[in-house]
Amino acid sequence: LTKMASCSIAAKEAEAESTMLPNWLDLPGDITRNILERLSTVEIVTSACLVCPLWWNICKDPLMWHTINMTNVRCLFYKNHFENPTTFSLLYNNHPEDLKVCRYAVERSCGHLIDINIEYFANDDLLEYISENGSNLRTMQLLNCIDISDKGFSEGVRKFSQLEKLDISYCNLSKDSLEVVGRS
Amino acid sequence: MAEEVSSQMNSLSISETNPSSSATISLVSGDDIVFKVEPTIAKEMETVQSFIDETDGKITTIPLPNISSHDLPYVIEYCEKSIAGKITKEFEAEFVKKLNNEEVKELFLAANYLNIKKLLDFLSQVIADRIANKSVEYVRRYFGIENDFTPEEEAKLREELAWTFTGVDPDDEDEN
Repeated sequence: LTKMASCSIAAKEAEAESTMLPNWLDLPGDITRNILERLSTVEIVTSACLVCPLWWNICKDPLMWHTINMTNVRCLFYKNHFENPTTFSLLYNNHPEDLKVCRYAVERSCGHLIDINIEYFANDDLLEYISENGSNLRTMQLLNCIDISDKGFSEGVRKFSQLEKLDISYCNLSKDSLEVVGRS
Repeated sequence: MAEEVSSQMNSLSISETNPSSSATISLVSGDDIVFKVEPTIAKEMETVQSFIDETDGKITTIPLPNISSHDLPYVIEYCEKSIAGKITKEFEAEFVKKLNNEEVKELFLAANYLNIKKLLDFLSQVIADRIANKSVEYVRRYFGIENDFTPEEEAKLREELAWTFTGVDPDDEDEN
């Protein structure tokens, strides 16, 4: 009982020092960052970065953009409904915003881009832009990107000297394009 | 006060531990409820463990004024599962189903305070999932963040980003 009493006093003393949990904005930046890094790129660009100046600054760091993830919930919703990727791509009705968001994110990464994951909307222009600004790219997923041509693909992919992993499932690419990848 | 704590302990009987065993660690919540846990659990909580280490293990009663008796059992449950190597996707899904937004945030802050990396990472993902595809205003409300951009600053940034996709989910007022 004596022990309990003393612990209770200790607790009360400590409580006097700090009774409240910290305000979110008082938390160390890397704690907030740990959450923000788990959002998709679209969510960071359209929402998280505008929440407050602190979050804006966290989002300004190029290292926040070393992974660009342009897959999102909308895709998953449609994917469950339309098994055939071509039908899906047509129905998905490419959002021009996605192209812009992706460009913006690549620009923000300031050459630190390591991993990019795009579904459906990439085209030759975007791939060219990525290849010019992402020389450190290691992993690229281009799922269902039927707008990428063999020519655009071959020219873009040559510039990724660090590329280790490439996924081009359901893209309209020929055997020749794959040979370009093999050589570079 | 001593009697109050002691009676709370009796009525709650939080864990079945042998009172004579000096090995157990007593965690005292901010509202003065004592939770007896195995030392292995304390090891998961870096803040607690370093407190024990600093006192050469002589002190086994640790006040945790920032953590309520409502939240602490969740933290302990997660640590127990973690030690048993039983953190599965199913467990996590069940675990998070029980928590409303307020509880998720409190647990997150508790995990941060106790420095439990695994729980912190898990809850970071939970929070990210809950604010995903939501509007700026929703996210501010969710975290209780005061918007301290000046109206001019915010207008400028919004204009800068005006081209971006705005198809967020409708704001969900239901806090659960």
